[in-house]
Amino acid sequence: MSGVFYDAAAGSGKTTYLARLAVEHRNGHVLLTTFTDANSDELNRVLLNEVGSIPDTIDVMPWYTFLLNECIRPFQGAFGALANEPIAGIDLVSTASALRTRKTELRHYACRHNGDNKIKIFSDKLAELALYINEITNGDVIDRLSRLYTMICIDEIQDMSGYDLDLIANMLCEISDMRFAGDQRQATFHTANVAKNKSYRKSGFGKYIKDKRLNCTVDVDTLRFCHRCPQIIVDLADALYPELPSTISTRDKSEATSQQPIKLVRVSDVVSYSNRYGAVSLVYDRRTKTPPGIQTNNMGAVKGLSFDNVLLFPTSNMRNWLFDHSTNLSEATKAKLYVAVTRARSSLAIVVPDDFQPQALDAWHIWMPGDINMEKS
Amino acid sequence: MEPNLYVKDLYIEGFKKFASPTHISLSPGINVLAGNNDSGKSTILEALHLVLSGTYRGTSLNQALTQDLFNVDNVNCYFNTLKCGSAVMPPLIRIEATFDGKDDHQIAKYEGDYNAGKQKQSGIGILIALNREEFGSEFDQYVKGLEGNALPIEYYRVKRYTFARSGLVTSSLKLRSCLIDSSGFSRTGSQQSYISHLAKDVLDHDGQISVLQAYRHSRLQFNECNAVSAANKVLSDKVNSLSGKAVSFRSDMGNKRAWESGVVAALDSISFSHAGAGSQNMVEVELALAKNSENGSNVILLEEPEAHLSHASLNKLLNGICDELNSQQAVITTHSSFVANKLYLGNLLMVGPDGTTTSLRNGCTDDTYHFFEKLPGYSTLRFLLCKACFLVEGDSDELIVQRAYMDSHNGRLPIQDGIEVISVGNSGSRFLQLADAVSQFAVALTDNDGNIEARENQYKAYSLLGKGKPDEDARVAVSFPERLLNRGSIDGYSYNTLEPELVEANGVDCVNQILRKSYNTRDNLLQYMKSHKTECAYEFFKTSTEVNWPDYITRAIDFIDRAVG
Repeated sequence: MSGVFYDAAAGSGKTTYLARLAVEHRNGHVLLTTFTDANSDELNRVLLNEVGSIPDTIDVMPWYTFLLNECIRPFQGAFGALANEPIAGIDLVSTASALRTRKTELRHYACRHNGDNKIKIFSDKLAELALYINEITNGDVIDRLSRLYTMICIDEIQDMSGYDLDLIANMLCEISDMRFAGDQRQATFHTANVAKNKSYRKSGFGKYIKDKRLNCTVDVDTLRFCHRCPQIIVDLADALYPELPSTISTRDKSEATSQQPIKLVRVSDVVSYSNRYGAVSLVYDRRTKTPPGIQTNNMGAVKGLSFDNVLLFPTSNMRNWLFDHSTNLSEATKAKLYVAVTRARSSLAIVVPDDFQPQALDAWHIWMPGDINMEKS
Repeated sequence: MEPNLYVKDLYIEGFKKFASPTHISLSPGINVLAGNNDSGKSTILEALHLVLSGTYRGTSLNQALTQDLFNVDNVNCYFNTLKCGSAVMPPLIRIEATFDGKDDHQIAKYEGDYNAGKQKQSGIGILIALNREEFGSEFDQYVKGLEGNALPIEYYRVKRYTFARSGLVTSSLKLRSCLIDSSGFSRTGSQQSYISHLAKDVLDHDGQISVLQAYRHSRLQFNECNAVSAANKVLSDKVNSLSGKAVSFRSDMGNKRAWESGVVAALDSISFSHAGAGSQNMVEVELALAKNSENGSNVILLEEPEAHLSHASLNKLLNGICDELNSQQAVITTHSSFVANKLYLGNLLMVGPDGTTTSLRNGCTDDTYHFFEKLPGYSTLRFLLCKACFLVEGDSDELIVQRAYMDSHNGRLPIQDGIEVISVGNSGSRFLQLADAVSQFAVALTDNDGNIEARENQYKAYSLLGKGKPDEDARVAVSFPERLLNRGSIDGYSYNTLEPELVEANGVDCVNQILRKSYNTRDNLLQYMKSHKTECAYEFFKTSTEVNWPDYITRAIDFIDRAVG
């Protein structure tokens, strides 16, 4: 019947924090959920780390699985068109599905798969269907959840959008204890690409709580400490969101670092740098040009992960911003850059063109193969 | 104490004798199923075990699936309809268990509207139906070319589900069923592993692991291994109250399979399978009762506990069940009134010939049920299960009523017509309460004790035969003499009992002839009959002389004739 939203900084260990909350919640059952499968796996991994096994009082499942199995299927019989037919699965859509249909019609929520004629629910309609079934059963869906789970923890809450938020608002009224952790700056994915609650994609879950007057407190202190990156990297990331509270690194400043935390690497030096430091390359998407033989990860997909050394391939817009913070970036680009920068445990290397001329005032140095001076060892 | 989880309703459709959908309501504690042979008691236990465990007679249903499980009428009706050229759904079996209990999480977990009633309920089900997706057309072909009524069960699929539309994982189900069949009917070669399995469940998780590891580590030294000794200690500590025998594990040297099949339970060092059937029963029940509850609740299914057990052992076993069931559920079938009485008649479910059940839960006052619990010798099941019943006070009444019945029914004994004559002493009104509770046809015969008005008052809740116009719809009646007979001079003798009524109806000479005596006065004759009650009644029972039966007896017989008519 009450909730806490932990507004978290990157590298603050929010996943671990939620997993610990779940483990410590002994007299009841906990659901740990999050949007992506990767984050869900991470929740499992953290739990295994913390307690050695997944306690049978804790269920871990991705958000779509939760919506389908625990919100829609139990009472789908109340929705006439679904009364006598099983739901085969989810139809992943990237744009708004079934426009100009009514919420009482099956085609608003689902399609029949061409091959086997089986019903699949559009991914952007899962939460809306759950809410609709909850409505026609006079609240049976949420009532069941409130008895099934005494605590529900949602990680990466910034990924939730559209009807997910309304469903969560409904759950807040019935579930005894809800905890949310998220970092608005890392909003690189969204559960649904729909008009509903669109403004909160930018302004975030904290604003949604406030606007809807939900019984949920916002905690900006617990998870504002970054345990992952050196302060200088945290400061760079924070500069993307000057309007938000700054993040404090808990990394010991006197910690003997073997290298500069931030440096520049010329394109032609990428391979030797990568080999030298075992750096992980982060790109905007697969269209980004990289030297042959370099394994890459998309910036948006590495949320929650840590790497010792990051090799960042910025888009030209991002590079402009890195050297001039007054450059305008779209929200999506900002989020991706924020995630990419804050992955680095030791160092962040930014790839620049070979003809890049550093300004005199730049604090960042260009890495040279065999440059002994830069390595304080 | 309410269990964490228990079965509150069992739904059976198409399984064995249950052709059409049938609901059986169960209580959280003890449920006693009583019914005539072939009423479906054992089928109810099998259905419950099947839906909870997915196994039938010890093997997974996928392997045990046979046409015998399907209702014969449903199968025949299906083939007959087909032969008439109509399209019709092939027969199916559906069994569902609806849950209740105080574990909110578990209740919610299985809650949804995917059940036969399409209602919001918590529970699980099993559906045995044609796998139309895979075999639909093949099945249709097969059926077309068919001559006999053999169902091609290879095209069938067993599906277990929760009401929340998820697949069912037996290991995560916190309600386990534990079927103990003491009649030995369904015992197979897997019996030993079954008993090991039961014993294993008594141990906690860590205990099980250590036993398993020890077995793997050294089967040869298994008997001496510490972990097994520890397990044996746990077993003997937990399980020795009823049988007084220590239960232990010992290594089965000849077997190379995993420990569950390699270990046998032993009773006082005698291998379980070689122990007496009675001891086996006792221990199986004890193990079931002692089952470790850390993984959830148990439903104990016990078939005819009276089989193989002496009266004293049975008494011990029933006391054990009552005392140690705690917050578990038990469903017990029986033919024994002793068992039903001891386990409290309020827990009785009567299974009718059509498989419907009638509960006695709210039928009578607790006082009456406690009465039978304390005096379990009364033949309550004989009474409840017959077509109709004469309730009489003693042996002599029993003989006279039987003979009177024979005289008006071509020499047939009442029992040959499914009618019981039961001596109930002075407890007639307790039985009348029972009869009222289950709408049983019953008539109590009693004397009038010299005060007709007092008797009428005493039984005013029931139909009084001979008093005005009898109530056509009455199911429970009382009959007693409506006249007062002349008193004689025998001191302290009640002249309004059976013997004076017989003398009144037939005259002294006739009675002398029947008894082969020659008393010259009524009082002398009655004096003899008074001190030889049963012998005299027996002479009446055997006599070839035509007897006039007192009115209150013939009225009772007329009532019963009308009832079963």
